Amino acid sequence: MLCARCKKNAATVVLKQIVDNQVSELRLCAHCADAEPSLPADPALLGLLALLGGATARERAAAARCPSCGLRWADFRKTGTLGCHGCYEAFAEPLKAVLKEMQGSVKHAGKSPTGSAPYPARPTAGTGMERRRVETEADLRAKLEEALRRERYEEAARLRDRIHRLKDS
Amino acid sequence: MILSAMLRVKMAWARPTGPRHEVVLSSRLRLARNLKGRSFPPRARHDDLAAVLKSVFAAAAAAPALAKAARVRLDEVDAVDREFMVERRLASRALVREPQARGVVVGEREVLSVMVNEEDHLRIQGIDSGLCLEDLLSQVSAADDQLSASLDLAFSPAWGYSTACPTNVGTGLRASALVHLPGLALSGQVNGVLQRLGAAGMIARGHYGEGTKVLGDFYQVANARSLGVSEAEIVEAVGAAVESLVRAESKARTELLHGLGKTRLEDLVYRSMGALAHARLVTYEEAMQHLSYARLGLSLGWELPADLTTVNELTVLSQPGHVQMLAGKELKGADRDFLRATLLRGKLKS
Ligand SMILES: [Zn+2]
Ligand SMILES: [Zn+2]
Repeated sequence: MLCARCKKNAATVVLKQIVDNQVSELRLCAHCADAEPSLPADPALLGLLALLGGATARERAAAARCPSCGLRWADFRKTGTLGCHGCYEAFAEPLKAVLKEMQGSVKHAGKSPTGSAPYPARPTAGTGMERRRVETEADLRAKLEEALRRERYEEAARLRDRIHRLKDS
Repeated sequence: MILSAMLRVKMAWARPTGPRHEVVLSSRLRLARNLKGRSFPPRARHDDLAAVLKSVFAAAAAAPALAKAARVRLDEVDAVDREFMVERRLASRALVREPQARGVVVGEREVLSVMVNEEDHLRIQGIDSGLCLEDLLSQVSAADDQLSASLDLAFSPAWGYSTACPTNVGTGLRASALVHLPGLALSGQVNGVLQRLGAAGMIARGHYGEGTKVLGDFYQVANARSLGVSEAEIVEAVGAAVESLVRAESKARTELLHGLGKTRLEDLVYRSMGALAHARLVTYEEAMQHLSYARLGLSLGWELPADLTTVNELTVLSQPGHVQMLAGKELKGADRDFLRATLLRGKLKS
């Protein structure tokens, strides 16, 4: 079989590409295979850029800048990357709509950095290792029950994670 | 130096000992993390990046999980070394493109590692053999806890860990498995299977992440969502998706073996063994295709003059950067293909 690009050399390489979870095959000679560009990397990023491209209702935010790093929403729309931690705060509203559509959720449900709950109050002395050693499972369970009683579910989830980690260690 | 020493050390993930290794070559799990008060790498100035690199290296030195790790500054190694680290899956293409103020922390047996100043300040990752995402989660999460004891991470209770790209926000977790699907590919079922995975919220990609060229029927399956689900839930979902792939691939292999295609299958495998053991010029793509069929034959239990460990390792050692590292210098195409063929012949002599 001849190379699909130059149509001169024999095809010795089968290049396969995945687009939208579909594999397509391309039979090329070694020379043309080397020259073949890779598609842009992350499908999740491509999805995000498509989403941002179509987001006309969020145009109003386009001129606003993040006070911490100076990034504009319009910059984000081009690259799909934010500038800093502060951007999440600065663009909270338009981001929420994007996250909802892309991630199906706007609420974190995973772990948090080790340290005393509630975040972000960080202890001034000691490392996470020492803190974990002095805090027993019973202490954490008491705190968990207290948090549940007060309906502070975020804190409860963090405590539950810490209890799991304590058990694992 | 460090990097050529790595060439002699066997990567943990190339061993054919992990669960489901007949289909799942390796599992990989990473957590994206950033420091508070510094712009994310795509927008950071050199000073910021240098400060981040310094504090992450210091934090890694203090973390028990990374106590024996090597800390490599990418601007202190040459281009061949950097390419080598990419092929070893310790660094991404994006990371080595701008080596200034970028680095990698490499743990023992290359299971745990940390990329510094890639798209995020930290990408803490674990790679091991077979389907082992739960085990990797506990190891990577422990390293994360230890690092966060001395780093002030950008986190909010509302949206979780801040990441440069909102596709990673929340847990910052991506769990993936590198799967070998020659049976599904040969029986023309691979598209249907991958589409079903897509509908189940998974992303299927080509070999080794960055590019989308699929070599030797190796695919990577990963979670699409990072927010609104816990780390354990993500790992469970990816694990279940991979298990379903393993079942489909095993079924396809059995059908090929017992159906009319058996002779065709044997022909492919033995033809590949012949090429690997006798050819004089072998490109990387060609090597991957032949190694893929050799791997298929071995996992079907056929008596071939090779073993799975060697074949797995050769998928890594055949890469251009590894071949050049072996030569100790940069090589042009034909010289590289000649050295690769020599390497393959030496390792797979009958
Ligand atoms: Zn051609
Ligand atoms: Zn910002």
